[in-house]
Order: sequence, then C-alpha cells, then structure tokens
Amino acid sequence: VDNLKCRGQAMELSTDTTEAGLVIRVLDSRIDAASAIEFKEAVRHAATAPGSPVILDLSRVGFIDSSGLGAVVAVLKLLGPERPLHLASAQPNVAKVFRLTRMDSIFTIHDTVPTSLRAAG
Amino acid sequence: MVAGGHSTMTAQGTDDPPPRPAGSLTGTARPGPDAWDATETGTLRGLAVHGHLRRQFLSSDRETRAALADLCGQLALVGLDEDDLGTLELILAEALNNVTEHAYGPEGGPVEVSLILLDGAGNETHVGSSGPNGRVLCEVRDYGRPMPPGGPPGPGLPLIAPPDHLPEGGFGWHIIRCLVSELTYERLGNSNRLRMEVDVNQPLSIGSGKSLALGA
Repeated sequence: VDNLKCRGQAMELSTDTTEAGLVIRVLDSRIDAASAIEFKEAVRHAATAPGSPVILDLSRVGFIDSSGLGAVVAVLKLLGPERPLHLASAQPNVAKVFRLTRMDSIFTIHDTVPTSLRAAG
Repeated sequence: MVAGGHSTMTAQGTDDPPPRPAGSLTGTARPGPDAWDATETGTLRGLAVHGHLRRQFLSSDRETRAALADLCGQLALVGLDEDDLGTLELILAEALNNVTEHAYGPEGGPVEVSLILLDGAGNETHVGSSGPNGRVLCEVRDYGRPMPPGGPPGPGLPLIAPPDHLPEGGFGWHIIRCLVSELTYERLGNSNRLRMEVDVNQPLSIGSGKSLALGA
C-alpha cells in the first residue's frame, strides 16, 4: 500500500492505492470557499498516484459549502471519464449538500470506503 | 489577512465580564437590564444568555470561516442539534460567500451578522424562556453593491446533465431557499440586509440554569 501525504497551503490529503481503487482521504475538516482552490489542486496532485476509480474519503469532513461542492465537481471533470470519482463516508451535513443540489445523482456514493473492486464497482 | 482589531463580537462568550450589554446592540434585539447577571457565573455566554448576538468582520473567505466558527460555537450552546447547526452554518456560509464575492469583491468591506432566537410564535425570546421548536433569525448586513433587481435568485438548480453539463457553481441560493422558512432582502440606503429564518428541531434554551425573567 502506497501512502503519501500532500501538504498544500490549506488542504491535507492522504492517498492509498488499494484493491478497490485510489483512495484519497481528505484530512481537513472543511471544504469551503477558503479552501476550494487548494482542495482542487491537492486532489489533482494526489491523483497522479495509480488506481481507478478514485474514491474520495470524506469521513473527516464536517462541512462543505457550494464552493467546496463546485471543487468536487471540478475534480470529477479533471479526472475524466476513464477514472470515475466515487465518494465515501460523507457525514450527514456533507451528504445534505449533495442531496439538496441533486449532485448525489452524478456520483457513486458509498457509506464506507470500499475495500474490494467488487464493492467499488 | 484582516487585522484582528477589525473583528468584533458583541455579547460573545468570554471569561472577562464585559460592560452591561444593554444599548451595545442595535436594532430590535436589545436585552433588558436583567439579562446580564455577572454575579452568577462571572461569564457572559452571549447568545445562550441574551437570545441574540452580533458579529462583525471585514469580508474575506478566511474571515468568514473565523466568523462561522464563532457563531456556530455560540449556537451550539443554545441546545441545537447537529442537523440544525449544520443547516445554520451552511446558509450563513452561502450568504457570506455571496457578500464576499459579489457585494464587495476583492476590495472587501464590513459585514455584520446578527443571530436572534425566536420562539415558536416568531417573537424574540427572553431570558428564562424555552419555547418549543423555535426559530433562528440570521441577518446579514453589508455596505457593498446591491443585489440585482428582484433580489436573490429564486430556487432552481443549474442544468445537471453529464457529461456535458456538470455545473461547478450556481447552487448557493438554491441551498439557502431549500433550508429557510423565510427569506427577505432589502436595500437600505447604502446597505444590503438579508434576513433568513430557520425552523429548528430542538427547543431553544435561553438563560439555562436561571429562573430569571425579563421585566416586560
């Protein structure tokens, strides 16, 4: 398992290339207007590690606003159709933002980080 | 980065007993003289004591984050659950992001956020009261550019049709309108005033631990 940390100006991530795909865990508690750009750049860098799909582990994120949501959508786009972006372990107040904006319909959302290819499929 | 001296929080929880707050706030939200009892706890607990609070800062993404932390810290003290706290933080964030981005832009300017706890009938709460299922009134004031004619955009999402239509913005007012029970915008002189009311799940707890009632 490859584990590295990317320390951006305001956004810390860890990555694991697993059987299920590339798991990128957001270590900051907020993806908001103050950190959306850093988030996007940090994930872009972290996604240079191998693995597909890319699974964004949101378990430590307690707050996201529409700017943060836009950054997650931007990541989906920059990964492209060959590398789907999945979401995992969203806390209730984070899941609420995806639900209200119907963006839950364009992501595969897992209750927990999947551990196998089958679970991630 | 804004100098700390430009950020103030009126009736904030602090270990230093501040001056009597009566008259230190503007508008209708003003505590009676009995709202302040420094002898009991030696602590002014802001929102949980008075039922209202005001926080001022200069617009920026970072100052908005700091203000939200203060405001939500105070809201947590009045008995709101995680769902209500998340809702209030979200609508305040969206409104404040809008001020930072559109009312002021890069030059920035002053922002005032007021929180006022209302009882189930929509009246301002008093010390010692704990009405069932109250409301929180959030007022955001700025002195920047006015909103376009007609005020805040109505509900509705941008077109979501992957892969060609994946919007990265345009969600903010939709989120606010989904979560508030009342939304009003007024241009008052050279200022914008946005008022958002949120129904909360939990009874609000004002002046907890006290039987003190405000004189009418």
